Formats: sequence, C-alpha cells, structure tokens
Amino acid sequence: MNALCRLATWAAFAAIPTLATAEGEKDVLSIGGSVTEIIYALGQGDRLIARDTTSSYPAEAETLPDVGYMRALSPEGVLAVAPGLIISEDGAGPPETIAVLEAADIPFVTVPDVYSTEGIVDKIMTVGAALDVEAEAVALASDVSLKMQRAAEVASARAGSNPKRVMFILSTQGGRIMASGRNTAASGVIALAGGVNAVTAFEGYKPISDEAVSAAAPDVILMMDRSGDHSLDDAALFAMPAIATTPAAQTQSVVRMNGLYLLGFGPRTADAALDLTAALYGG
Amino acid sequence: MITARDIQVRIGKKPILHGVDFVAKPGEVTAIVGPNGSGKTTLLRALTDEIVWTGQVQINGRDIGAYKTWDLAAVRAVLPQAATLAFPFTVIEVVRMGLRSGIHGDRDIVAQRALAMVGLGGYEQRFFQELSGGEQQRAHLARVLCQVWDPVVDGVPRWMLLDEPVASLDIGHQLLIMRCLEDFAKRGGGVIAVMHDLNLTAMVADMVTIISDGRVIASGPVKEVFTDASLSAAYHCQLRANTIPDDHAAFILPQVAQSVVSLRGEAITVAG
Amino acid sequence: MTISVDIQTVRRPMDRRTRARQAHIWLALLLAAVSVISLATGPTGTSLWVAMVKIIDGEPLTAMERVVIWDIRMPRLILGIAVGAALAVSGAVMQGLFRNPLADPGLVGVGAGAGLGAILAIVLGALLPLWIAELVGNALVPVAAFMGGWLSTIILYRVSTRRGRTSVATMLLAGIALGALAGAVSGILVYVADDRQLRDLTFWGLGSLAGATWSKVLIAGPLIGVAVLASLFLGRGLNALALGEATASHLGFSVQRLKSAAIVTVAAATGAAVAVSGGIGFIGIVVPHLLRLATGPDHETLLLNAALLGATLLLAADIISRQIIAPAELPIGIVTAVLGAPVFLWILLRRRGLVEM
Repeated sequence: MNALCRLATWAAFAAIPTLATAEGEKDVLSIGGSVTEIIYALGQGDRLIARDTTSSYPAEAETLPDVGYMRALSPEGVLAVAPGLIISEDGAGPPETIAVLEAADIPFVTVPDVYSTEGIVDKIMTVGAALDVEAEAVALASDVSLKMQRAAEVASARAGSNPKRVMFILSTQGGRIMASGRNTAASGVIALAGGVNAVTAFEGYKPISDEAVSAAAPDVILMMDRSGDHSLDDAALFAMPAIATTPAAQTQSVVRMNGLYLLGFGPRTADAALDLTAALYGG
Repeated sequence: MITARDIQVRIGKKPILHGVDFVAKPGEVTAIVGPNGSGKTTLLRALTDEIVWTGQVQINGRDIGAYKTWDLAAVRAVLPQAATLAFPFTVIEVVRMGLRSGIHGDRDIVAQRALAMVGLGGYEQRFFQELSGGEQQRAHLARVLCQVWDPVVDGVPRWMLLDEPVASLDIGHQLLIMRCLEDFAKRGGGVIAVMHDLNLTAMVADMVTIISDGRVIASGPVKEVFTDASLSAAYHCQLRANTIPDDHAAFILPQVAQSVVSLRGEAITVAG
Repeated sequence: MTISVDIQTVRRPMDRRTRARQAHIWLALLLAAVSVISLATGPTGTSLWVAMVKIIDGEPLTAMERVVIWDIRMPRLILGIAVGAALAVSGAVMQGLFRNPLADPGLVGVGAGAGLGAILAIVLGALLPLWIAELVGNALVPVAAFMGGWLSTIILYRVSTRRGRTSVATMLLAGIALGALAGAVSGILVYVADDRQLRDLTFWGLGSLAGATWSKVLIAGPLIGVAVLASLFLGRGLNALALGEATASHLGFSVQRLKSAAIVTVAAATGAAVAVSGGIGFIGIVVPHLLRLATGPDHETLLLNAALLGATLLLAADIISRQIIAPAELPIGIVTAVLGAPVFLWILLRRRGLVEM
C-alpha cells in the first residue's frame, strides 16, 4: 500500500536532524486543527503553549491561548506566546506576519494538507520530525494507516457495487447552498467512507444552483453539526426547493458530523470515515 | 470702467441677448432694469463670466479673459440672486469667506464692520441657516463688501456686481443697503446692480440701462432714461414717470389702460 | 444719510474659530500621547521604557525588543497615523466637495476599485507570471488595491468631466454604476475563489493594521503624507465651495482646479490607505462630523483637526483590536464600526436639527 511505502521513506529520513527544540520543552505553537490533534496523539500535548482558532480538539487544546484565525495571525500576538517552534498547516498567514516571525528567528514548520491516507501519514511524520519524536510518529502513522486501510475495506464492503451519492453542504445561508466539489476534505472523506461525491462539476466549495442540486441527485446530504448559520433543522433543509426534489429528501437522509472530526484529516479520520460509512449504509 | 461690447448669449438655440453694449463707470451706481425674462440677469452673468457668451467685456481696461480667477476676484465681487450654503456656518464665518489676504488693517474688524453696515451687527455667532431670507441676503452682501472693502486700491477702482441686492428686503433695509452702495460709489468704487424696483432705482442710481427682449432700450442718466416712452416700451404697458418737483428723482406710476398686452401677446381688456 | 460704524462698539467675541485653533494643539498632544501608548502596549508585554533606557545607556536590545518595538509596533504606529489621517481628511474633503456631510471617499470610486483590485490579487494572484509575483512579493494585494482605486477614480473623473468641467452630480451617479460593476466582477471572482481565499477576502474587508511592515510604510507613507499635506491647503477653497460653484469662482477660486486637486489627493490618500489596511469604515464620516459639531465646518481648521483626530482614533482602535482578545486580534474595521456606529447614531439623535445642514 502506498501509505506504507511513504512510511518507509519517512523512517529512512528520520535520522536527519530537524529544527526541533530540546526534547520536552514547552514552547510549541500549533496552527491548524489537524496538527494540534496529531501533537496530542503523539503524546506531546503538554509541550503546546498556544493554538489557533481552528484547534478545538481535544478539549484540553481549548484551554490554551488562542492566537486567532490561521490566515489572519497578528505578529505580536504570536510573539506574545513566546513560541520556540511553530508547527502549522499549510496556508498560515498573512505573509507579513510570517516574515516578522522569520525575522524573529522562530523555526516555522509547514505541514502539507492532502486529503488522503498518504496525506495524513505525511502530516504525522512532519509533525513528529519537528517535535523530534520520530519513533512515536512512525508508530502513530502505521497505526493510522492500518485503521484507514481497515476503514477502506469496511467501506468498500458496505458500498458494494452500489455506492451512495453524497452531497456535502457547507452552508445554506440565505437559501443559497454552498456545496463541496472535487478536491476538498469533504470529497476526500466521502470517498474514504465508500460514498461518491454527488457534485464533481467544480473544485472547492462553491454556491450551487437549485437545478444543479436536483441534477446531482444525492442519496444523502452531509453537513457539519456546528451551530450558527450552518445549522438548519431537517424539516427546513428538506423543504428547500432544491433539496426537496432529491432522493435524499424522499428518504429524509441527512448526516451531521463535527466539522473538525469529519474534515480534519488527522488521526481521527479513520474513525470519522467509519462513522460516516455506518451513517450511510446503516450500522 | 467696465465696458461690454456686442454681448450675445444663446441658451440652446434661443437668443437671450442680441448684441448688447454696456458701460459702467467707477464712482457711479449703474442700474440694469427691465421686465422679467428681459435678459438683465443674463447680462450680469456675462459680465461676471458665469455663462457662455460672445463679445467683449473689459474691466478697468483689460479683457476679463486675461485675468486669472484670483486676480479677477481682487477687482470685483459678485452677489448672485440666490446663494446656497452647505454646512452650518455661522454668519461671521460666511462673511469672512469674502476676506482676502492683503486687506489693510485688522481682517476680523473688517468682517464685523461689514456686518454692521448691512444692519446685522451682533449676528456674528448666529447660524446662517437660522436667519430669515432677507437677513441671509444681507449677510451675503456683507461678504461681498468684505471682498472689495477698499473701493480703490493703488488707484484702481474695484467693483460690486449685484443681482437684485434688495429683492427680499423690507423698505428700511432696502434704503440701508442702497445707501451702502451709494457710499461705495462715492468713495471711488463701481457698482452695477440689477434692479427690480424702479422707484428705488430712480432714487439711488446714477446711470441706468433698460433692457427688454434682449436689447438695450435706453441707457444713460436716470432722468434722461426714465421717460414714459422708454419705460412703457420696455415693460409693454403704459407707465408714467412723475418728476415733480423737477429736481427730484422720478416716481413711476403704472397707468391703468383700456388694454394692456399680456406676455402672451393677447389683448386683455381691463374694465374701468 | 451717511453710514457710521463706531469701531469702539464692535467687540471681538470669542468665536469657535479660536476654539478650533486651540484644538490643533490639544489634538496634537493627544495624538502624541496615544502614539506613546501604542508603542508601549502589545500582547508580548515588551516594555518601551526598558528599551528606551537600554538605548540611552548604549546597551544592546534583545532580539525580542528589537523585533517587537522596531519591526512590529513602530511600522504599525506610523501606518496607523497615516491611514487614520488619510481616511479622516479624505472624508472631510469629499464632504466639502460634494457639499454633503455624508459623502465619503467611496464616492470617487476609490473603495470599489480598491476592493476589486484586492479581490483580483487574492483570487487570481497565483496566475501571475512568476517575475511579476517575485517583483511585488507580499505587496501584491496592496499594489493591486491601489491601482484599482486609482483606475476607477480616473474613469469616474473622465466620465463626469465635459469641456473641462467636472459635474459632481454625474460623478455621484457614475460612482454608483461603477460600484455596481465592481461588485458584479467581485461576485464572479468570489465564485471562483476557494474557501481560503474567501476567508482572506473577508478579513481584508474588515481591515487591519496587523500587516504593517517597514516596506509598506516606505511605499504608502510618503504618498499618504504628501496627499494629506496637500489637502490641508484646500480649506479656503472648500469653504468657498460651500457657497456654490459660481460663488466660489467669484471669490477667486478656480473651481475646476479645486475639484481636480481634491479628487487627486483623496484618491491618492485613500487608495494608499485602503491598500495597506483594507476596508476601515466610519473614520471618514464620524471624525469630520464630530469636529464640525465641536468647532464648526470651517475647513481651514477642520482639515488639520480631522487629520489629528483621525490618526488618534485609529491608533486607539488599533490598541483595542490587538489587546481585547490577545494573543489573537480583532480586525480593526470591526472595532471602528462597533465604536463608530453607535456614536454616529447618538450624534444624529442628539443634534437632529443641525445634521441636516
């Protein structure tokens, strides 16, 4: 399996010295929900001094100071938590802040975000290398890839030759449906759970017309269970004209899951995929 | 000296002024009179370069086109018929807008004296928009007075061009303002005023130009110009200028006639 | 009848011009005080005094002190003063030009154009040829925003100028049309943007001084400085313009040159300000309005006071924005709107009579 090959390559490079600070020093700033999860899963959670807004799991993480949204970090805010090492998901910004952090000589590790098992393994290994805990990282990564493999087997067994068409709806603000197209975390997890993304006409999250929703004919609607504008009760959801015509409305099929759990692509993604499979095809 | 030669103005295709000649001398109050729509305000606007016109206008012997805006404002001030004002300025702030650098003496005193001259002493800190229409008109006149405070500077006369300066004033303030203008002229400045009230004109003006239908009907000293014939021709109705006793200014009385020509040109029969 | 005005009876009352001139000094002192606070406060708790003492004693600063005070707070302070002054003065100039207390620089199309430029850069920046991307680097969004603002002002100016005369009414209407067009194009771009770019757009629209760097100060600072200084000289002309264009011209002001100067300085100052700080609302309307209530609408004193108060308020808002949820930061546009909107409503309710003027 591809993921295991990657793991082997990573293990080979593990000896290379990294940017890591002294073992166990408590001076790590984690930016990005999945990175924070991985740090905790590696047992290094007590080294964290701060996190960003998207890091809401595990619950301990929420007690850490919040340096703000990862795309709008304030330079002095980041410096205020005095990080010795910053580990961040791809795309932290703005660039001016990153430049200041570079000027302040703070090591900054960027973790790539790819929505696949290989992507998760890469993330775990990058974080492990940055924290100088390669052995734990290898263990976690192989554990995660095994679980992912198992989840994939379960998913393909359940889906069989008749996979369900799933449409991920990011928001329905003002009656306008924002759906996930190709190349997103949502489409990644749908594939892992043995479903088929019903919307493939575009990349990313975009507003989609009512007729396109009908044409996509999803069997199941997938949403995040966050409150605020994302929340919409089932009756109202299926009453929306666009959705009323879909097979999902006929069977009243809607799955709601925690956003970070579902879309984070971290250590819990295998469980999320299994949960989603169960929700799609019945426990 | 302000001279205008062959002034022609069209609005669209409609000619408003057909080659008007006009002269005003410093030391005199020159009035422009005529019926509504005759072109008297248009003539003033041509003299102040507010509209598109052809012909020649000279101020103190120099084409107005040759003046820079700033230099032109140094030799003549203009009072429009109606001036608007944005923002809640106080009266003294509006009057100060007329002050220019290089004025002799204390600028603030000048502004206050100008206000006192138009009968608005003590109104300095009032909001302009809270004044009545007549008071606003006088405040604007005070601003104009400030702009050309000294009637003669370095031997060059300065001018006031006023469009109906007393139109919305009561009789007392009409007289006060007209005395101000006379005084300015006496001290060597030049005043050109578009006037509505013929009696007031006859009392105060030295020279007068009557305009009707875009043409000059008559112009010259008031006594020579204000005749029954010229007035009746200009205003399209029978008017009589009483000049009794002889050395007094003309006193114009409209004459009730059997028929007067209305503006549409129809004959209207008036009983009596 | 002769006119005699007795000079002795003419008193010189204390009018609000005196107060407005005194306000120059008070507001300058206030700005200086807030500037020191701005340099001295921040989530790191780095002390300005310690650093100052070290500089005086000739001791070397720690890397942290150097970065925080010199690379973060100092450019932020300068940019805050420049942006606050630019927004407030531009607002006052636009209100004078349009003779309307609710006019803002958006009316000359700067806002719409700058917004469109920023969106273009955020969404399509990745498609630029590499050499351009390398040339402008991090400055891509500010540069695009400035060019967008400038370009839309030029278009508006051209559209509303006939035979050398600019009609502000046409400009107002054309500005609405251009704004709608820019909004539509922005909409298309938002459609093709990914969710990260959408987040960037949202944050850009809320405005922030967090991205202040020395390179931004060096690019935007002089431009804003020159534009603001130049607009301070428009005071007398704008006063005259309050009497209408014809009267302003009779008072000796070349109205067309006045309009051009006002539009150019506002487009430059606001364009640069919006480019480096994003959309910061309310300063341009609230500051001149407050000052008009306090010291009157005389632009000769209003413009300088607006520059000083605008800079002071923006710095204060910036201090709040970086302290209130530290170490995270609240976008400054939220702070100015949250503070500005209620103040504005309160003014409207309290002084209903005068506001209409």
